[in-house]
Amino acid sequence: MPIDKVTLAILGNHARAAAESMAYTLYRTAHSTFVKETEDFTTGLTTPAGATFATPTELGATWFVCLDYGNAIRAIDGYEEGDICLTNDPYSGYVCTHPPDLHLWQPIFHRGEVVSFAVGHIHNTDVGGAVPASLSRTLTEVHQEGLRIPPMKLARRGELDRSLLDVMWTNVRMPEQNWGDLKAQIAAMRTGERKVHEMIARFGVDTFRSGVEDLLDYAEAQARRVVRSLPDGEYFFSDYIDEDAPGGHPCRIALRLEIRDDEVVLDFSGSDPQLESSINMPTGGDPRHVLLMVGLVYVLYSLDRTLPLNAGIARVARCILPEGSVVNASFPAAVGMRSLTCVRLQGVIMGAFSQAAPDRLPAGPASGGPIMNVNTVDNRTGRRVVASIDPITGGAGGNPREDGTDGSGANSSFLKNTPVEINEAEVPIRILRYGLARDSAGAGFHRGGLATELTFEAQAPGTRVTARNRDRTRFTSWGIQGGRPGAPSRFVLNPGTAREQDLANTDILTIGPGDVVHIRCGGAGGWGSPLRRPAEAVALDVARGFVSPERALADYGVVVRDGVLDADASARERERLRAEEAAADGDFYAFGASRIAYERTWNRACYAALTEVLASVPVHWRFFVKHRVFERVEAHPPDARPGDGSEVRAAFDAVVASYVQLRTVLAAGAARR
Amino acid sequence: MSERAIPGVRIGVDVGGTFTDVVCAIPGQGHRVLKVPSTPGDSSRGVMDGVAAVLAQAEVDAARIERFAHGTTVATNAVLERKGARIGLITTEGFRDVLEIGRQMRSQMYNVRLDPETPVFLAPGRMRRTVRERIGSKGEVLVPLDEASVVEAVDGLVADGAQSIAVALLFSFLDGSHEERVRDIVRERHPGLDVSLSCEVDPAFREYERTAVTAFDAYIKPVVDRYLAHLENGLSSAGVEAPLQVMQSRGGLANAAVARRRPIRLFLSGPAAGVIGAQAVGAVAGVEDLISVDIGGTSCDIALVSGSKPLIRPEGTIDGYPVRVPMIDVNAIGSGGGSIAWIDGAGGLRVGPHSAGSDPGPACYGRGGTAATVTDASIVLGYLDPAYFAGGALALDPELAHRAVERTVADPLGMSVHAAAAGIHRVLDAQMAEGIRLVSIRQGFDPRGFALVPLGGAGALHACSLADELGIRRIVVPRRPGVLSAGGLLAAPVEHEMSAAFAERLDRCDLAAVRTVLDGLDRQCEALMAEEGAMAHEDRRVEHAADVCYVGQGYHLEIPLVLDDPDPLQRLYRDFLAAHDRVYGHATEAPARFVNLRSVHRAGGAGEVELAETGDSAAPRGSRTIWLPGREEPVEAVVVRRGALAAGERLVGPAIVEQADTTILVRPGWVGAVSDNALLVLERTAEEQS
Repeated sequence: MPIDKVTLAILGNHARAAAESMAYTLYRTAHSTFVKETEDFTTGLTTPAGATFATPTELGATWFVCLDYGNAIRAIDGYEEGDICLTNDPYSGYVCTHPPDLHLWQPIFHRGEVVSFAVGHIHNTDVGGAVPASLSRTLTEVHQEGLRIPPMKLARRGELDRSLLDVMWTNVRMPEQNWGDLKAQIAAMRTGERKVHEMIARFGVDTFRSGVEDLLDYAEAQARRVVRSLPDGEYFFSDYIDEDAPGGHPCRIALRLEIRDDEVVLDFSGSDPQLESSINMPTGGDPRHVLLMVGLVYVLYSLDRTLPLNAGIARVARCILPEGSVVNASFPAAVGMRSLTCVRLQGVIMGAFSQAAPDRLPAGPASGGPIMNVNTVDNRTGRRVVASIDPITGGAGGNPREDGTDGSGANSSFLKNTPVEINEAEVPIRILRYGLARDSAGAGFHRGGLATELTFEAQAPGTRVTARNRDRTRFTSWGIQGGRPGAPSRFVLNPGTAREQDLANTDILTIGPGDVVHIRCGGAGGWGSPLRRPAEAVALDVARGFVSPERALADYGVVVRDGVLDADASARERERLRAEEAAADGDFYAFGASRIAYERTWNRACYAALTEVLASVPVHWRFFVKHRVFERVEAHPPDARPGDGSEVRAAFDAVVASYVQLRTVLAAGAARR
Repeated sequence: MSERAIPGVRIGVDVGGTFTDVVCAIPGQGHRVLKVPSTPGDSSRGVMDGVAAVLAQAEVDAARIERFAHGTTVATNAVLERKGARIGLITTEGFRDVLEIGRQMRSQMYNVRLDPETPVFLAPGRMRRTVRERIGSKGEVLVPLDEASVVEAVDGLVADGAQSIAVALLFSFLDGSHEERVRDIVRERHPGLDVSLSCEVDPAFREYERTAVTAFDAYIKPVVDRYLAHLENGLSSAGVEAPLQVMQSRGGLANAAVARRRPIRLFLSGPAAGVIGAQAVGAVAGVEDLISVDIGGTSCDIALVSGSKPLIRPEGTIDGYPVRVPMIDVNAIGSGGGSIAWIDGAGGLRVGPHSAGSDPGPACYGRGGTAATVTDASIVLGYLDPAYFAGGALALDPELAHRAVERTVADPLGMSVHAAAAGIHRVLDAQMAEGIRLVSIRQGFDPRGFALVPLGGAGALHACSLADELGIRRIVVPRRPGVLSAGGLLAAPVEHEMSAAFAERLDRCDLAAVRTVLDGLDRQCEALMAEEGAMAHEDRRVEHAADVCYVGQGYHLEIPLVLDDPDPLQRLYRDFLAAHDRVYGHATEAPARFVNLRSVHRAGGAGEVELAETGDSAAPRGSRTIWLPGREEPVEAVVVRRGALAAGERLVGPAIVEQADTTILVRPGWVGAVSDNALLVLERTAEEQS
């Protein structure tokens, strides 16, 4: 029986506070810089079946509101009081989504019965494997990405399994750090257990049991109401990751969003096949997999800030995730860098929804900045040091009310930076600059947020820099309703010297003493025509160093000379630009120049043909065939491509013709059917 | 200070948003309490008005005042109203945007549309300039200070209108010489310009936090300076010879001259006085561990006193921005009597954070408000007498309260008006209880071991339900909960505190090095104390403390450092482990390190609070029908005026005690006892425990 609304409101408060107490315990006791400064962790409480009904709203990572621990919970045979279980294997139940994330869950008993689970994860800086920090785009199978632990008990009746710990600490590069963080995680589990017992003492076990289910229903009802406020219809949006493997072709994420009354269907059928790099998403095809729900939660919460944050939200959605695609990779595809894809996918979901709610949602968020690790030697002690230094983030898209936030925002807002004074104390590098990047934001009536940039100098030979999640050097964020796209990201070695080298999307680099690395995130898109932005606001951005006088003139038609706004000259220039703007076709989205050029060849018809032909070959052939098709299509001169998809089919036929092995595979498949 | 034949008069003045409260302690006459309207714009006028009025009433000459303690919101208001100085911020080259980027904290993580959460308004883009210099992470000079770049930056900022300069250079907490040289250059070129150095305001690592607090210091310094100077002049011309003392955020007083140099320590001046008042009330009642809950119209301030000491947090906030300076751990939540009840999209009942404020105010004020507030619910439930609100100063309309609750809550939820009003109280009480729980568990305390001290106009109305929610068994209601802050000013000691970064491991550290740093801090505190005059000699106490964390850990705990212990460092380590276990639930014998060393000097502070006469039990008792959450049927409650309560009298709930500044609801299961000094102590009776 549902409990009354007043009691439910109170129970909801308690549940959220319980999750926050867990997060607080973890945050304040954790040891690694990555946890204590960037907050890549979660805590929560689930129903006995595994649905998350409480997560913190102010601490930790944002991705796990809708996480369902069911598969992990069911993988264990029988629970006893004091047990704590763990897994970090992305292919055992699809709860964990890459090996560095160590997920824990602890059954909470009341009179011998499990009434709830305390859950949570920490992103460990290193879990062993081929590269320090365990993550690199170059990895091709999950076996290279560190030690994997399928769901098992870490503690039985309160006793930790020392052998398991020995195995773990033998396989990782910085066992003390992982152990410190694990202890903090265990403390958080215990806090969760205590809080649930307090809630049961307060409300009674029956009210608690039905109340947590009601909390899920309540969030679902709220989410349905928000969806119902959007017009029914079908909306299409796609975006690209610059490279599907180091130096590769673009990887496309395509979404057909269908809104019908109070439900949404997210069909990712037009997305690329799974890749031979580590940016695949392990979802198991679950139509409500947590990684796909993140963008939805962002959108619905932004439309209604009173939305309760729990797994009930996911019930409004159903995803279509073709097997063997980048959004549903098959074992043993590497998945370590799935966050790059997830971030792009969140943007795709926001982009599609912005058509349904053009005056309520912002332009494209920034992305493409890395999370950086440095592996170097301290010249004073001779000791090797490995540490995360900073997530390089960018701002939020401009929105109908105001400019996007600078530096961080939208779906990057859970990442905190690390103070320079901690970075330099822990890692022997010298930071030369950390600040907001001029001209990085997309122009607009409400401009996008600026990106951050970091410049540092290595002090020792053999310094290895890992810059994970590098992207957006080619395809940028987008503006909407006349707003302009943000600037691309940058990664440059020794800028402004004869040894300058553009590193583009490189993610591992070895440098020596005196080498300077400059890194900048992509900028966020603008909302509304830049010509509508008051000239004074543009001049202020120039005075603040956010916009150069050159871009003020080119993007906004605003003339600032020696720091002074020339109102008359600006009015004339803006008049001229307005005439140009009126002559253009006025698309809803404004994409960057690289994307416009790319889509002259790879338009929707060609992608439809590509999706179709790749679906006809087995999963392990798709990435290979895709590359061969790209080579053949792009070998034709641009004016010889009809642009209707026939060139893709022709290229595919030619590929099939040139590989006897592929013909054999296709023939065998046809025979089976 | 001159010798006086007659014992002195002590005055405490606390400025609030609406009223300025004056408490005047006259030897042999007890306390006089007066409320005068606050004077926004120049709050010193209200202070002067109040002092003049109380002196006239008591027929006391201003020259007899030997102590004048003041709680002020001038620093806080300068920030809230953005009326601080135009400041220029000087940082290390390459790091101009530290203030703007902050730590990228976002309180609404799931919202893609956010407001900036760093105090950029302190020094927007063009008011931030850089100088060429660099100190490294070991305190070594990597790039010497380029004085030409300093001159250029300073002159540029002054040309752009800077009235005050903040300097926050990287790693200055390890070597402050570059910042000090910048100050010298500012002084040479622009005498009279205020300068705040990060190595003095907050010598600790993490550049954003240090930069923000230094910028705040520079932002409010001219405002605080002007205000206190103005007030000192006013007091002096009114014939007050006693030095002006100002309450600081840690709960100790400082001479105005010192406060003007360290304005960043004044953000919690008012609330801290309330906590000290609650602590003093606790001392009278023999309670060492208590939670003070100050419930006003729009918010509720919660603080913990443990072992008769208010809990101190190493870092506070102002207007949502971090201010890394130690302050009493006062937590404000947006719930109060004016909080509005509403129904969300899924039919859930919510209360706050929006408030009806004082205009239009709750529906029952009859000023056009139509939203149902907590106060309206209190009227519906019969807790408040519409004719005796604020001692009858404001007549409330129960019909309007009834209609608002019916229309906005009862009807949509399909409940009776009384059930809806009870629901509003339940949701609000649960929210506030959660706030209290969070404050206590964050510090590792179980609220059940604490007494509750309700303050403010609405504290005593909710005290029993909060105590029930939290399992608290005792409530101490001060004689005048509404003016306890002013009373706290008279009970507070003088206090000066200095700290320094000290990055050594406990197990590799030489005690002599610790002593050397502490000696230096002690000398600085003593210099500050020397400015306090006579009070500095009363009952002088010196305490040392260290901020300690595990090696590799990001957050520290403040642990007392007892230098006359046979093995101070060993004891510090043991105490750290115990504190870590209390706060975080675990502790291992892993290596720990110092973060900061601190010295705190205190003097005076009798812990005295107003003692009042009790009443006559023969005074008439009335009764009123009230509705209580969780009960279908209404009950009859005894209604009595506070002044009529006799010493030793027992009051069994349900009962209502009315007084001009608050209404006390004694719920069933609670019994009140009136002490000789007019405190009302409520105890929960065992049999009523649910």
